[in-house]
Amino acid sequence: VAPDAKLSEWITGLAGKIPVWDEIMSFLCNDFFIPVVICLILPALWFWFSDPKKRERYQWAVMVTPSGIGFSGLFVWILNHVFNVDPWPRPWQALDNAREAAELLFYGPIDPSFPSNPAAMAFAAAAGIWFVNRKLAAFVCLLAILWSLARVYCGAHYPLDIVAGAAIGIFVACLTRAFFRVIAPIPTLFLSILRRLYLA
Amino acid sequence: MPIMADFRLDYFLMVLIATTGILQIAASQAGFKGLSLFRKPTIDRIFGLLAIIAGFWFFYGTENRNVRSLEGSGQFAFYLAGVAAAVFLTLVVSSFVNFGLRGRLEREDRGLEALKKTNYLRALFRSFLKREDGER
Repeated sequence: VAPDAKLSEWITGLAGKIPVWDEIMSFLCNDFFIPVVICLILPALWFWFSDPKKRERYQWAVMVTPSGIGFSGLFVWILNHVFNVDPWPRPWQALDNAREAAELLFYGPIDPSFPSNPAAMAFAAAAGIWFVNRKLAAFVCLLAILWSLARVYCGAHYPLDIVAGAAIGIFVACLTRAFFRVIAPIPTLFLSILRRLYLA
Repeated sequence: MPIMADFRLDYFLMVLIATTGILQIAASQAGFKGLSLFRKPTIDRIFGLLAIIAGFWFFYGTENRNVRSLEGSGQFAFYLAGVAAAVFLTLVVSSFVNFGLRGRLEREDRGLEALKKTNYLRALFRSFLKREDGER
């Protein structure tokens, strides 16, 4: 059992007490809602700015951010499947309150709990956007926090899973940005091809 | 697996509809007349907002979506497909809607800048014809 199992037991014990709150948490912990909202920001940023120089800076960020999201997902997958990092079962598999919360509000995911893949990807998105627009990044960070909290509330993750996932996401996003600086001629070429096609 | 196929289709359609909406808001914000579906930016933005709401409403209003379904890679693939379809649809439809938009393109009107003065297909054909002329 995870070291923070008692905290998880307490948090998931709140489920089923306030129906409106449960509805909100059930909606927020969904696999699609917050990721799609975050990902919709990216095509918007691609086209948003009238000034070509500013637009190009943001288009770079739009290339870096999903790459960071993808690499952080890959990092978690490698940890789980290559290095077999899977220290504890999901809260809903180990704790009574969490099982009830998952049955009531969500479903029982069966892939490894640690580290949280959703937290890694959402915080990677926030970190990727942070390099170009801090206010927008703060908004994405808020979405990432809400998604993470909801997943703890619904018995899908322990808080420790979330913290580890967030750290991985931020770290990998920073690495991805550095990597893009090294391979800068490739994305530059990609952008110039898109520009010839009137898409960038 | 008809249920799963429906789920994927619904997810794809949600992304397609919502992305079409966000593209309209972004196009009106940046002044890309060639990408806009309406003449007035305000109408474009209202349409965009309604499309985003409609996309989510269509997906979440019809069924319980808290079920074991698409894995991360599948989710990403269908998201990309939805965005690509929305961009393609916007480029084609806006080109027909803005058929009469035929501003004169200058040298500095490269890339998306051209869509402030003309529609997408016209810009693409013009650059293709220019290249043909250059080759001759």
